[in-house]
Order: sequence, then structure tokens, then C-alpha cells
Amino acid sequence: MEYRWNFGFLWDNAGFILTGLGNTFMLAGLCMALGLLAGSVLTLMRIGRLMPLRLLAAGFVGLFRNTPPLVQLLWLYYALPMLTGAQLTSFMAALVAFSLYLAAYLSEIFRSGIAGVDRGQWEAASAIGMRWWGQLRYIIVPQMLPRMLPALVSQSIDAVKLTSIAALLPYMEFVYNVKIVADQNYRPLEAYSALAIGFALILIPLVLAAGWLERRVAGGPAGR
Amino acid sequence: MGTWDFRIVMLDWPVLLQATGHTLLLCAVALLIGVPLGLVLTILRRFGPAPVRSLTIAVVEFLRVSAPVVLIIWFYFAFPILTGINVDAFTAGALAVGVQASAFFSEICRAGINAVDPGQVEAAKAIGMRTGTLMGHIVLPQALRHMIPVMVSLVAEIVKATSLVAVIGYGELSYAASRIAADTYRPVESYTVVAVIYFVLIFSISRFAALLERRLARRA
Repeated sequence: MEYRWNFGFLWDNAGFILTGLGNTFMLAGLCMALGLLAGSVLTLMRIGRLMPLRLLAAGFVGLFRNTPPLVQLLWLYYALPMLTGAQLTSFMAALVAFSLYLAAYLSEIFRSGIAGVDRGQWEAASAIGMRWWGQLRYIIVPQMLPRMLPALVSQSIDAVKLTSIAALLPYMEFVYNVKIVADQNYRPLEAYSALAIGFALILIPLVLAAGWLERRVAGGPAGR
Repeated sequence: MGTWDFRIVMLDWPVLLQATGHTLLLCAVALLIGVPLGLVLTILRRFGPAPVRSLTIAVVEFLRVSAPVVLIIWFYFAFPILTGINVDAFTAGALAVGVQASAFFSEICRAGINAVDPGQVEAAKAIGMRTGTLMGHIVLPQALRHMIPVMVSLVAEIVKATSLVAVIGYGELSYAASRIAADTYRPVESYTVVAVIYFVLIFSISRFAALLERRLARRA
């Protein structure tokens, strides 16, 4: 029997699906913002001089990079309330879990960014009497930022991909809302095919930005 | 608030052991799908005619930006209707993770090949080597040195991705965690034990990748 494709129901539920998409972007954006903040703190702890802080930060990064984000999310959502007595909403659990996961990766990006700046820059800044914070703020960060941009953009692509995991709780983001529409209309083929293509399409601007930045960094005056 | 008590959860060790086996099996089958398919994509992208090359780039980019959850759901619920082939949760999960891994693997191959000094290719061409010999004897041995550590890291990412196959109810580790938590009313211990198992798996793979990277860098 010939399969009759029908995408009409997606159009009828466009509002509901777009609400989910909005939630996806909101969650991804907030996770990325918090991740950048926490990642910066982690990086400062890791390059700082206090051994306990360095170990703590390294342990944190190791833990979050070497376990699946889904397990971190489930732990926060189902296990943490038993320990603290406070139940996080699915949004909060996803926000905390993915921010910390991203922070671990972002601190690696920051660290290699700092390592990419010539050692002599620190020494020269120190020789003209700059303090450590000033060296970092005015000499190191401005040099590492342009080189880090492509990695930061591809990390924000990962942030959007990560949020889809929150559908398992469930949090009503893009994937979860499409799943509801698919179930209600008994049309998984159309719904999930549209979802797969739609999910890739919304990330195209970020993919193009990452590629453009990479070429610019490679060919720019900053050199390789 | 109760105290930590791992005994009840550890009584379920056969479930945990089996689930760990399922996770590893998923990774193995995903790799068996991903590596050959990734090689095909690399070859098409490098040697195919222009339209094939553009199409391959589009496919690779599509797979790279796809969320694993979306691919898993698609292979489980949509793929059988499209093709008429019935797949169980294991097959759908392995296909989804494997097909996405093929895109990452082909990117690793491309980067590895690009990392070989173009002078090497020119020199080999100058002494009259054919493309096959040139790739097999000059480019690939050098490219592999760049690729191997990254490939091992990819395996760690695959382990993480397989955790999402729980979404279609396949009994791998993260699914087992939810089941044991529900059976024992001990979510803290259940999720912690499974997190530790994942950590041991993934951390060992990452360490191995770092070790290979140092070894191969020293030899270069």
C-alpha cells in the first residue's frame, strides 16, 4: 500500500511546536550564559595558585566531562531532592545540569586559549608592573578571545543539541512538543522527519558563523 | 532524610552488569556501523564528482548538528514506516548513534588527511605514484598518527550518546538506573552507582586517548 504523506497536522499545531522551539532556545541561551560564567570561574581556579582550588576545579571538570549529560540531569532531578528535600522543576534541573556540563567544556576551551598566548606576554606585562589580574584582563584575554570564537560558537551548537535531552524528564522543548503532536496524530514519520530536518535547519546560522570565524582566524593577521 | 545505603542497589548487580554489557554492545555495533560508513563518506567527499561531494558535505553537516535524541527517535518511530523494515530498540539505537558517529569519524579522517604536509603528496606525485599507492603508503600512515587519539575520544562520546537510547526503552545503563531507582526507592544510590560506572568507562577511554596522544606526539 502506498503511504500517504501528510504534513498538515504540523501546520495546525505550529503554535505549540514553536512554543517548544522557543523553550529550546531559552534553555540553550541561559545554559550557555551560565556556562560561560561558571566556566570562567573554573578556569580562574585552575590557573590560580591555590592548590585546593585547582584540584577542586580539575575534579569538577573531570567528573562532568566523563559522565553522560543525561545521567547528570537524572541525578539532579531524581536523586538530589532525596538529599536536600527540594524538588527542582524540570527546567531548573536541565538549566543547572547543562550549564555545569557546558562550563566543564568551556573551561577547557578557555584554558587552551590561555595556553595559546605566548608566555612572554605575561612576563612583559609583569615587567611593566601590571598585576596578575591586569595582565589577564588587558593582555591575555584580548589576544585569546578572537582565536576562541569558533570553538565558542560550536559549543553553543552543542548547547542547543544538549537541551533536547531535557525532553526525557520531560521539559516541554522542541523535541518533546513534536513528540506529543506525533502521538496525537499517529504520524511519527512526518513529525520526526520534520523534526530532524527542522532541528538541523535552525542550527545552520551557527554552523555558518563557526565556519566563517574559523576561516577568518586561520587567515587573519593573528596568524594560525 | 535517609542515609546513603548502597546495599539494596548492589543487590541488583546482575541488572547493572547486564546493562553495562548492553551499553558496551551498543557502542561496539555503533562503531561497526560508523567506521565503514565514515570511510565511505570521506572517500566520496574527497574523490567523488562535484555533485556527490556537495551532497556528502550536506549529509555530514546535517548529521553533525543533529541531536542524538532526535536521530534515535527517528530511527525507532519513523524509519520502520519509511522503509517497511521493523527495527527493535537496540537496532534503532545502534543505527542512530552509528550513523551520527560516521559523520564525526569522516571529519576526523578529513582533518587527519589535511594535517599531512601537502609537500608529501606533491613529492609522491612527482615520482609518479598513483593515487591509491600515494594514499596507502604516504598519506594514510601519517594521517593515522593524528587520527588515532581523536578516534579514541570519539569512542568516549559514543558511550555518552548511547545513554540516550534509554528514550526508546532499551535496557542500557541509564535505563537500568531508572528501573532500579523505581524498584528499590533508592534514586540517590541508583543514579550514583550508574554515574560511577559511566565515569569508570569514559574516564578510562579518555586517559587512553591522552596516553596515545603523548606517545604518538613523541614519536613524530
